[in-house]
This record gives sequence, C-alpha cells and structure tokens, in this order.
Amino acid sequence: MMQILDAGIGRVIAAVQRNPARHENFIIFTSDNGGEPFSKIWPFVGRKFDLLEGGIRVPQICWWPGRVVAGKVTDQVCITMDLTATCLAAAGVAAAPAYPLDGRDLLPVLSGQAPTSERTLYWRMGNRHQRAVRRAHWKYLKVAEREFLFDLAYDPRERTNFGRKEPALLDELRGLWEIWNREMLPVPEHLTPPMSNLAEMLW
Amino acid sequence: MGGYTGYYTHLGDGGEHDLYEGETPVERQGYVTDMLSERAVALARKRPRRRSRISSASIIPRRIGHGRRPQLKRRRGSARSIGPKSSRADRPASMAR
Repeated sequence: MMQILDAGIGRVIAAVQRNPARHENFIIFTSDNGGEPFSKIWPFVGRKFDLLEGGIRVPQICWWPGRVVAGKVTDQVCITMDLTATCLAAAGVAAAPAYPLDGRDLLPVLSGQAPTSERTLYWRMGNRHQRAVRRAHWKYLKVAEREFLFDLAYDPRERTNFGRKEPALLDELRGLWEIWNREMLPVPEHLTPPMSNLAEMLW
Repeated sequence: MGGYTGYYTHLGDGGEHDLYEGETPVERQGYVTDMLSERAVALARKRPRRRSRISSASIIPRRIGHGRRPQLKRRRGSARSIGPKSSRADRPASMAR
C-alpha cells in the first residue's frame, strides 16, 4: 500500500519535472488528519475524530529547490489552511478582498527569510463536543464536559492536565475559543455517529 | 469517488459503484492508488501554459470498512482535483480539518 503510494508520487514528480518551467514547481506532501486505527502515531495519543495531537497532527513536506530551504525541519506551528495562502503567494496572486483567508503564507518561514512566529489555532469537532485551542506550546482541550490544559513542549502525549495548576491560563484559552467560535458557522444540531459520539474515544 | 472506495473493487462503503470521471460513472480495472497517480501524471504531461495546481489525494493508508461507515456524499470538484472528495463524514463539525 505505502510502496504503491511512494512509487506513484515518484511518477507524478517525474512528470511535473519534465516541464520546462520545472524551477517553478512547488510540491507539498501532507495528510488530511491524524491516524486511523493501526496507524503509527507515536509519540502522540488519539486518532482521527479526536482533537488530541494524534488526531490533528499531520506530516508535511514542502519541496521547491531555490525557494524552500532544503533538508530543514521547522518548529513553526501551522495548519492545513495555510497551504491556500502559501500556494496563492507562490503563484504571486492575492486572495479576493471579499474573501479573506484564514491561513497564513508559510513561504517566508520555508525560505528561511523569516523566523518562526507564535500562532493561536482553534478546532471544534462534533464528536464528543470537542474544543481545542493551541497557543504556543499550551493547549486547551475540552472533551464532552471535561477540560484539560496541556503543555505540549513538556508533554506531547497530553497525559498531564495542568488545568488546576494554571486555572487563569485555562480560563483565558477557553475565552479565546468562545470568541473564535462566535465567528464560525453554527454546528449542525443533528449529527449522526461517529460524528456525534464515537464510542472508541479515549475519554 | 468517496472516502472509502475499495482499492480493487471501486465500490463505496454502501457497496455502490464509486468510480467517476468527473461526474460520469466509469468502469476501470486497477488498483485505485495507481489509477490516481496515473491520472495526475497525465495532467502534468499536458504542460499547462498558465500556473496550475494538481491535488492528488490518494486514499491510503486507510482501511476499507464496508458497512461500518456512513454513506458518503460526493461533491463537485475541479477537473484538476483527483481522488476522494471531502465528505461530511471526514469533517463532522470541525472547521479546521
């Protein structure tokens, strides 16, 4: 399965590299969500349909000789919607003013021209009414009625709840989520399993 | 195709035929990951004059859980977007994924 994917990617890259303007080729390899059952997601915990890191962390490889620094691993926190802004910037066009983008152009970081910067990212998921905020290395997570505060720098497996030790921070991140949520479309009321209640969930 | 098309059978999760060329159902033989790669290669070989984007979304690694997943709906996509379309089942209420 993976071998066929690997070989297929090789064929696609070979085909686009035959283009005379191959120096303009920008190739991104990524995934759409965390692991399905049987995926190796160590050290993370959780899986698809969870807002734990195992459910939302994805691999991403960017390749563009001359523009993207080769062989570099960045700690920049980013999210899939950044790819829209990045691809538009790569093409040298701007988003329509009436439709502002949620993501951010990653090329300055990928090209080594800008340092990494702090991000605040938000998630919500119908399954178990999950909510999550990530700001720098702190992450607020709510699953059903339980709230957690994790320090991803110290504990990427999200096993240590700092909620009681840092109640002000937990309140602040919860407040940020609620502000963000008011800007979003409402969650549909009637969601069917597994969207509303996945029994195999960790909590 | 939906998110859980059979690799060889090209059947969707409800057992329905689930392989399309644009909006037209087609009968093909092959391993679906290879078919998607070949389609992307064919698009790349056309050497478009203008800036273009190919999104090749292979459905692996993924188990095919016939009968266990909700029926998926197909969405209209651009000609250059090949592979499974996003579905409600793939993104329940999450605005981010």
